[in-house]
Amino acid sequence: MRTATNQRPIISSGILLGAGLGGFADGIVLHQILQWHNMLSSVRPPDDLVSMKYNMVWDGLFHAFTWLMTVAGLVRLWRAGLRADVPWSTRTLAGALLLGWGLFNSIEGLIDHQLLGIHHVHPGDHQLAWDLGFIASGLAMAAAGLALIRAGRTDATPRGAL
Amino acid sequence: MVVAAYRGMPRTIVSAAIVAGLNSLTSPCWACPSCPIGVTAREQVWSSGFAQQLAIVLAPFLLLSALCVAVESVGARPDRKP
Repeated sequence: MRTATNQRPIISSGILLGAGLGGFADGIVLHQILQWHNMLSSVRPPDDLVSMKYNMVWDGLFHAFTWLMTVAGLVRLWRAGLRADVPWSTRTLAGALLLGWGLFNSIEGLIDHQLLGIHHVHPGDHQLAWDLGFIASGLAMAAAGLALIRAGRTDATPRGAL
Repeated sequence: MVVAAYRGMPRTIVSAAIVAGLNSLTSPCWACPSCPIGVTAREQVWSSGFAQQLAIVLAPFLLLSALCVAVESVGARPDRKP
């Protein structure tokens, strides 16, 4: 039976897909459904219609980038599936998805919430706790993802051989 | 056919619905491409540090893309033989 040991293409495509889908989850749940924040809501609070629409444009640009990340991940995953040296491992892909989502939340939280303060997860009382919790949840997801990727190292069956 | 669908309904209700529909076509619309509030908001997006804000929004995506490139290239080892 053929064996495949090159995990890297699956990991990179999973990171891209995880970041894209994680960004969509952030935008759909926190921006639109719960309406806790918008992309620039701490710079330009959406307290009138013009400001809401201003933030809506930036939310749209955010979603455009998450869409591009998702498409890039999908393309990479498709190409990885065509290679005989890449293991078609559910654990590796699931781990990379978690890693991508977790890293995206951590980096976005660090840059946008902590360093630049363009928005906060849940503005108001206990704002810092929400922001730190968001980063911590991202790091936990990334750690879980790394553990899954590590567990998937023993998976060595390429897609065509399944 | 449209008229047939409304047959049997009081004429006042039908005419009121038609008038309401026509009004919706001509009255100011807040979600249209050229409404004053939307135009103002989009103009402000472009005129208030668009490039800087775009760089901030893009930063996490660029960092993760760079990480993916690193995963693919840096530290690449020749494939192990089974």
